[in-house]
Amino acid sequence: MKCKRIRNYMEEYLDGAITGTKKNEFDKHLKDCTDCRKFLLERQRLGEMLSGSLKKISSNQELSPELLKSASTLAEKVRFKPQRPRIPWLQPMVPWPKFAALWFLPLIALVLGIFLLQNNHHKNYVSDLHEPSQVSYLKLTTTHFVGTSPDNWIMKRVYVQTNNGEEGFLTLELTKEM
Amino acid sequence: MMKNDLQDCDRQALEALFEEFGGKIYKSAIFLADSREEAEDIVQETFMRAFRSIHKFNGRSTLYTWLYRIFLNVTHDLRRKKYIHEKFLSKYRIEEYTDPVEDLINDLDKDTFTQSLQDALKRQKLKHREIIVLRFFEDLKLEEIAERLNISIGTVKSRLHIALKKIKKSIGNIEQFANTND
Repeated sequence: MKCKRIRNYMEEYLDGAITGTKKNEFDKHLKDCTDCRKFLLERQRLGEMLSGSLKKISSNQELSPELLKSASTLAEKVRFKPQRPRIPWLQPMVPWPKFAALWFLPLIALVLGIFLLQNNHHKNYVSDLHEPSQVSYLKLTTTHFVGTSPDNWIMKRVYVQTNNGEEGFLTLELTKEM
Repeated sequence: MMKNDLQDCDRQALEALFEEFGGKIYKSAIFLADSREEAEDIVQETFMRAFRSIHKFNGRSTLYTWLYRIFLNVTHDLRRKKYIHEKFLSKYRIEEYTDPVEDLINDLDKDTFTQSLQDALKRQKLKHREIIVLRFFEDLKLEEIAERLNISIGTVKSRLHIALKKIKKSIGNIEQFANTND
């Protein structure tokens, strides 16, 4: 056995959980390897000191008598709920998981995602006019085919004139059917 | 027998339970709590919960083990509450008046090892502290710790390893203490 393995199982060895041939191997290794022996001794010593110190600290600590006395009032404070009789046919086949509501989160995220993605297509023009929403009269002068967008929409660049005399380019995104 | 007594809500049995295990649990609580008051609160809350759900005790483990599990849950809940409270205070920069907390172990003759051990324990995370308490104060084996904390033996070993490493680091040379202790 290698030192690393020995040290890994040191706690089990101290518990006496290692028996039989493995224990013999362990003992043999500890006999031969000074480093591991030192490691074991140090661990034992630390354990003893920790155990001793913790017990020494706690030996002086007693629960205050008032708290002990309060046990009776504590008992009165607690109201016992009578156990509800269980009706087997009302119990669900599979117990309702603790965080069942969380299961709906991905579903909600998916629906929201689809909605947002679709919403993107509502924007069907890009304009360099100041107030494109107020365009009520379009005078098409020249039309340039720009290209197709990634989702197969045809993009056309159109020069327009509005009713308030403004002129500018509009980029239209049109479906193939249009 | 004991279980039946308790399920009948026998007040005497409840008091007996508190008297028998209260002190024992309190001794563990002083290592996991920050102050004496907190330790007492933990013990009281533990027994409140235990009384309330005594009908759930199924006798598969000993009564003490069952109580200890509740005690650990209470400790973790309290720590969580404290953490949230502190976070809230720091977020809104509320200065809270705190009494200077008396040292838990101030009435002891403090030898250097106990002192540095106490400091080292205070600096540990709760999950490491509880492993140290279970291993060296309750003198439990790895399997028993794993069962009590409901974690795997591997996790117990790694936590114990980290905890011991931290303690060794903060108390420095063990030999120096060992020689003075002998």
